[in-house]
Amino acid sequence: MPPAEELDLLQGTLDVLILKTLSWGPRHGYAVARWLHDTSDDVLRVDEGALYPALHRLERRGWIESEWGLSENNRRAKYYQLTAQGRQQLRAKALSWSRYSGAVSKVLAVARG
Amino acid sequence: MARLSGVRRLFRLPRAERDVAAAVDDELAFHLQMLTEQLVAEGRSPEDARREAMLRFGDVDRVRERCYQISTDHEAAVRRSDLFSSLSHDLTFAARSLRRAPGFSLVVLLTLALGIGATTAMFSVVRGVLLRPLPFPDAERLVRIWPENRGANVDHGQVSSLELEDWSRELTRFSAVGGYRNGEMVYGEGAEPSYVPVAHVSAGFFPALGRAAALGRTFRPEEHVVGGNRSVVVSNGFWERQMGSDRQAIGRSISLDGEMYTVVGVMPPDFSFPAPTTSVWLSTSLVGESSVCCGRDGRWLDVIARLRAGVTPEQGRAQVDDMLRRFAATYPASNAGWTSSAVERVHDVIVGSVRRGLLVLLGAVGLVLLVVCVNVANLMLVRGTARGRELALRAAIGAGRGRIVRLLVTESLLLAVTGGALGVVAAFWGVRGLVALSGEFLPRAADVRVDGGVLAFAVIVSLATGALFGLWPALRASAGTGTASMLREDARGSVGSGGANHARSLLVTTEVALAVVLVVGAGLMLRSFERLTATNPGFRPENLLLVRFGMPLTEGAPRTKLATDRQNVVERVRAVPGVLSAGATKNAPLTGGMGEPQPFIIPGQATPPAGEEPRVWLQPASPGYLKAMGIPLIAGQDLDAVTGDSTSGILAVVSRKMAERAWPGRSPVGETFVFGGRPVRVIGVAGDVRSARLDSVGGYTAYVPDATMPRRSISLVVRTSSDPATLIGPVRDAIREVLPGQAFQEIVPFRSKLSEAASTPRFFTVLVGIFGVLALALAAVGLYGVVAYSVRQREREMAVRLALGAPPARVLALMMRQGMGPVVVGLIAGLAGAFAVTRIMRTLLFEVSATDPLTYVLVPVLLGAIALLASYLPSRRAARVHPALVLRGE
Repeated sequence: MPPAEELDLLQGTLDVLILKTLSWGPRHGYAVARWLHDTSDDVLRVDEGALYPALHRLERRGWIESEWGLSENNRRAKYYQLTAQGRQQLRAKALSWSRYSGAVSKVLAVARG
Repeated sequence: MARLSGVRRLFRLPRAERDVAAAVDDELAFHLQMLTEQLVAEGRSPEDARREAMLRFGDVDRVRERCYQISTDHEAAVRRSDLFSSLSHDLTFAARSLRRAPGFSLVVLLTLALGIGATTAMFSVVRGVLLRPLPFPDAERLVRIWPENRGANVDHGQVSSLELEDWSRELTRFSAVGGYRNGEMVYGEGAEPSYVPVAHVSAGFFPALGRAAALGRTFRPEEHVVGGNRSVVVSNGFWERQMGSDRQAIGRSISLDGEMYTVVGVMPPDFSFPAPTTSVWLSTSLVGESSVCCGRDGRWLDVIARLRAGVTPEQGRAQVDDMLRRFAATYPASNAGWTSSAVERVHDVIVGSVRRGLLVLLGAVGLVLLVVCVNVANLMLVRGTARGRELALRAAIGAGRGRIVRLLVTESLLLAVTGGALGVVAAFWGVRGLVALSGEFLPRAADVRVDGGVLAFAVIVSLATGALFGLWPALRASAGTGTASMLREDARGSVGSGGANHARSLLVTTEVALAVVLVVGAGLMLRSFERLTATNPGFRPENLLLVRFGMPLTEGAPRTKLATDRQNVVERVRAVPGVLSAGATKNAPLTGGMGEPQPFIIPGQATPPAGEEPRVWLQPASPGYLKAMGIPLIAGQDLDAVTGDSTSGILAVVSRKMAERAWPGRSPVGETFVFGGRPVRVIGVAGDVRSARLDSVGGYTAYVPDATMPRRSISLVVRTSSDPATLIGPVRDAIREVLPGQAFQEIVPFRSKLSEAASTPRFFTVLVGIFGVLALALAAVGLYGVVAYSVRQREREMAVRLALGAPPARVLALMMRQGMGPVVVGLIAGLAGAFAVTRIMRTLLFEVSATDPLTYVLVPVLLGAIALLASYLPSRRAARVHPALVLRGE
């Protein structure tokens, strides 16, 4: 088991990424995984399975909601979609994330100089 | 989003955990399959792709487990909120539709508040008095014991101090046996000393009750020995009022009857035994030797005892009886005849006298609540019919019958709960009113309050009421929703469906029947109360002032000083302007403290066996007592003629009952009876007096000159020329001229003692009366509503009749006949019901039979008249209909 802080960071990060992914419209878990995989160029390596507890947790919080639908190849798939609350969360999290990463980069830059 | 959630609710509402699990499995399977397919498309073999997919996915079981858990939580939350939202939807809807009918809602709410409020208040009393256990540990083991002397007709006797010691030793089935005696003592000194209620208690008293002092302690064994410490235990109330709630009160001295006592303990607030007002407890050993005779026959103590665990009162009694029989053989002089006993639980003793009355009242208020239910059901039914079209419309657009019933029942429950809440508020006030009305007689009045249990009762009653008055009309209203027919059916010319009319008639019948039962009960109580208050107490209570006090004992002075003091007091009071006459006795009628009647024998008549002699109350009376009281002298002379010397033996005026029974067929004047070994000569006969209770004469009384029986306690009776209340001050001042600083137990117009004596029947009469009037009013309103409704429905029919030439009187009669039909049935059913139910009231009635013909005739006449009025008023409208207007209009 990784230490708690790391897991929290990872979870929080994963949550923001999922919300971001869903901000372009409803998609199923597999599509979310593919998009994360492709966009991050494998930098963010997570087990694809870890995505699902995160999706369910977000649904439990009311940030996203789900509906069964048909996939592009006519299979039953569970589609997730942002709720208004989720959209709000995404904005807030994205903001604090870029502040955080900006601050970290700044500190690192100073240290290097 | 709204679309999505609606769709989700329609298609994907997993009903159980199984569905949640299946959904998760499907979702994960879909992912793995898609991944595998993609890998295959990238050129891997199916097996290889499958393995790689599993690898990339990670620990499938763990993921599945986590997802199950989160989703199950989620589903539960969704279901909860769905339930709440549908409930709040129903409630909002119900509230809205009730607001749209404010008149209807107001009438229903007020009716419900009345019914539930009255029931809740009554239940508070029953709970406080009958149901709540007494504040003693294992209170059900506390019993009172009375020795009985059947032959002498004494069934609630007392015991002597000496005998009580034997009892404590011999009665092994009891863990403690204590004796006590209520009394009053003058507390404090100075200008305004006052009387406080005290109890002299024996060593076993506090151990039997099993309560410790809140502050300090109760008595130690050595304090129960004659000549021991002068210790007292005081009540919480006394400690607060007289000692300023002083935490250091232990060890302080207080003055009682002019002597100093040391406070050793303060009892807890809820300790109130023997009397609710008992303020000071003293050891029986402190009673002056003069007041109590010391022998075995000095019976002066009441007995309280604690049964050992597992012993029934019956087993306890067997042991007491066994012991008493042995004593009767061993000490024939004092114990002959005292061979049996009564053992009763203290709780039963305290509440026994009011139990039946309270239960009757609870039953009565329950009937009122039933009438309320019937009345509201009636209103709901009318409303349901009027809403027929609305409900049909709802059914037409897809509401199932269950949904409509739920809607209507929610409405009823909302009404019931709101009415119940109002009722609880009313009950708060009602309980105060009840306790105030109950006066002195209601035991444990302090325990009566609205508490959690009472509130729970109110909630249950409200819900039950709502279900009772709501369900049936709801079922009826929803049953009639054969949609098409209802929608088509126009108000035009339609007569309410036969079924609905029938149902309303049935409700009216029920209501009238219940009202008859209640009003008959009220009528019987009223008649009984009227008899009781009109009964001749044997003296004239108007313009009569009662003064009660204890004469001071002067150290060293002979006891005869008491008699001369008393004589001086009486003579001084007679001189007060406005006083017509005055006299003194030990205990005036209806003031309690009569004590035990004592046996007497008549020389020359066959002597009954020992212990079975007739008994007489010897009442010491001053000259002028009988005259001042207005007790008629029937034969012979008054005591005034006696000069007070005792050389000629004791002279007595006997009561009429004694004269007639002891010397049947001849005048007792000049005859002699033997009392306590001394001959008593009868010089006159006086009228009987209801001295202990208003409803009976009781035993024999003999008035003897007070000089022969000097006593400290004195009841002064003063006949006044005008309102006795105006003479309270002058009489008090006059007495204090003779006895400076004298304290008084009471100075009151005698009327108030009579009123006190009638407080129990008054309480029951007033309450049953209120319930009767309520039921009557509700029934009248219900009938009015039904007839008015039916008139409105048949307006067009009546218009047609009138247009075709029917005389208005005939139309009026037609409508009234329809209204009165169910009333007549209700009257008959009600009379039958009353006949069956009022039997249980028999013991509450005085000189009135439970089948009193007058009541049974008057009540239906009264109810019939009210019903006629209630159906005449709305029917009049039918006869006044203007045919042209009605027929032309919609």
